[in-house]
Amino acid sequence: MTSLNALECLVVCMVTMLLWQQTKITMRSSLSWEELLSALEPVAMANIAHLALEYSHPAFFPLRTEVDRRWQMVGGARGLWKIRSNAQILFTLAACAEHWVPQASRSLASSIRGDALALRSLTAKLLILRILRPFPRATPVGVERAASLYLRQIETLSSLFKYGPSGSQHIFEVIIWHPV
Amino acid sequence: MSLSMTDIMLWSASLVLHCALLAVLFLRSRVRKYPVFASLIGFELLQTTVLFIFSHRYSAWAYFYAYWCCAFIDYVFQVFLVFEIARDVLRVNDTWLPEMRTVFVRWAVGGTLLSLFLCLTLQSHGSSRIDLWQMRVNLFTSILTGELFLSLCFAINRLGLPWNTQGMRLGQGLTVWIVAANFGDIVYAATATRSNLVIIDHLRMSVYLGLLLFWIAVFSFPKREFGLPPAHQVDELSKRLKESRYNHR
Repeated sequence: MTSLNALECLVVCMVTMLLWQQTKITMRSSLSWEELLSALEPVAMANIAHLALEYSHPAFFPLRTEVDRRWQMVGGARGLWKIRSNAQILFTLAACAEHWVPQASRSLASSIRGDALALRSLTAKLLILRILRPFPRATPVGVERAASLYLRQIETLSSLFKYGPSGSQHIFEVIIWHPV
Repeated sequence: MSLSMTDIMLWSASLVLHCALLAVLFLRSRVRKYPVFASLIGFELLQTTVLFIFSHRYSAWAYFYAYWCCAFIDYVFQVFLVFEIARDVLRVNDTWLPEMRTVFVRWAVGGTLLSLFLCLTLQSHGSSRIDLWQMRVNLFTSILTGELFLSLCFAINRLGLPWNTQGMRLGQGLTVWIVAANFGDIVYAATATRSNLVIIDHLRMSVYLGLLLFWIAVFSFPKREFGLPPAHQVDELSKRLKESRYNHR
């Protein structure tokens, strides 16, 4: 009866995961626009933009910010976590925006998805490295890449919202480009 | 073949509820949006009637063949229903999202192979060969539906997709059905007695009737799509959000 026990375990695991995933879907889908946008946390946008420019245009920034300073600029682990959770919301917003953009701009929505998936794994890696600290006194490198992915997501989303119903561009700028 | 009072009650209730759900789907013109679901409900209605006639008029063997034919078609419909739900949520503007392939396909194929292996190695003492195969087929099919649907849920969550209410409720109903079917099959495989099978069947049928009621209620209401609020509300919304943000700080 060994395989029956294995099957029982399989079924219990599957059912638990199914219920968990369904709860996640239900919670996300029942959010209103107001709740979704209020969940966006204020992040150090100016610093993020600076790091992103430094990363994507190395020729213009020969003197790069120090690794420790970069980590502080995004607000440390807490700031990185905020970026990560904001990226999730931007992801859902992009999925909504996808319904109104014309055919030619579909690839933009798709690129947000790619960026968000990359950002998610990168932030997870950075946070784990920071917590575990396998190398003493070392700050994980890669914060600037996360910043550039986040900025690119916001810029792409902003261009998608241009196609939205009247007022959507306005709401996007007020809420997302919030200065801190 | 004799039927108990409970059997007759459950059968007639399912007949009525299937008719009602089909009527709601037609009246709310949801048939074009969910053709497989509507066909599945139509088929269940037909199946209930055919099996009832077979159990009254024909021999036990004729009923046996009719039951297994219907069960096979029913199962094909269930698998297609999962793909219909996938099409509803993973396809935006008539194109499948390319990112879903890796998540959906990897989980579905892995889960299927594992459950196939476990079901084929399943042995049960004291039950006939035909009962053993029935057990294996039942378990494998219910686990497979579960795996496919689970991989779909993973893909939806990973891609952060919003879902319209009716599609989501359809998925919730399917979740309840998968849980009930899986637990029923596991309990039967563990105990393997005929009397238990009858009790499990009755319980499963009651869950299914509850589901039909739930779906009737869901499809009776107009659906809510996740879109931007109307233009006149947008300004008010942005003002409120700005205020709450500044107050928060």
